[in-house]
Amino acid sequence: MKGRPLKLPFLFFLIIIFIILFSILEAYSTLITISEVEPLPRRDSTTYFLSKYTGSHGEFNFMVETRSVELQPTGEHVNSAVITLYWTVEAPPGQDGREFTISVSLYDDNGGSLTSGSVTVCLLKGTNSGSYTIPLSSTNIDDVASVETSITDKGWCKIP
Amino acid sequence: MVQNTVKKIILIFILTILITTTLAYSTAIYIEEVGQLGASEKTPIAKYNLRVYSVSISVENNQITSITITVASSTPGTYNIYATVRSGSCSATASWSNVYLTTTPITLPSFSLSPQCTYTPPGATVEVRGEPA
Repeated sequence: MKGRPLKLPFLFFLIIIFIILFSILEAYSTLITISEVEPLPRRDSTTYFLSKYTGSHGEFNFMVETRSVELQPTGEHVNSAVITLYWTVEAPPGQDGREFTISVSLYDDNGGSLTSGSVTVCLLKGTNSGSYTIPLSSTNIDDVASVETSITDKGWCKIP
Repeated sequence: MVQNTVKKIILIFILTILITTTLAYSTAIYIEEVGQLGASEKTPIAKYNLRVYSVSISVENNQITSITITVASSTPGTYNIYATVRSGSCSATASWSNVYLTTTPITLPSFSLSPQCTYTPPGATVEVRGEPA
């Protein structure tokens, strides 16, 4: 079979076509390899914010720390959170302690609120710790991207 | 003349392969998620959700000394888990290697942090991350 040698533009065209084909097949085979080796992430991280509050009223100081947050599961959903607090509260005579509202909020990937709840407790003067349950509306754990707590000072309190 | 015929045959052959591959590829993307590519319906690519049920820190002399977490995964398997604690400008990372996770939550052993960050207001951020081992 005689004839002229292939022209340069045609050779260039052939090379480009083969590069495209090779790229597609390479991507395809990579996906096959990944599927056989390991699962891919849909959600691979969750962020918790444990809040700490310090304040004073006159000569009296108070400090409240969130030491732990635990979401209570029911299947793939959570419907309450248990928060453990550690506190040091100074209070004047006649007052039993300092009242705080402890809140917990669950957010999705876009920062939208999934659910939230709070509990108001009178933390007795002195240094102590305690756990408190905060009811939440049922939320799929897979939707939870972040969990945030907050502490709000409500003033002096007395135990009835 | 023969040369031109060979060129045309090669071109038609390549274009046919290219069009067929592209059509198959785009159809697969259209019909199924990209995650299904490269696998039959019997063996879809698993996608996992790391589920973090609890985070607990230990504090001594206002320093965050250790961390304990409870985790699970929507896809059973062996994972490496990392927890990064940040307070102020300080950060410390705990890690657990080759942890077998299922949908049942498990509490990982307490991990001693280094450096020990000062627990300052407004608080500490704990980011828990997992990847297949």
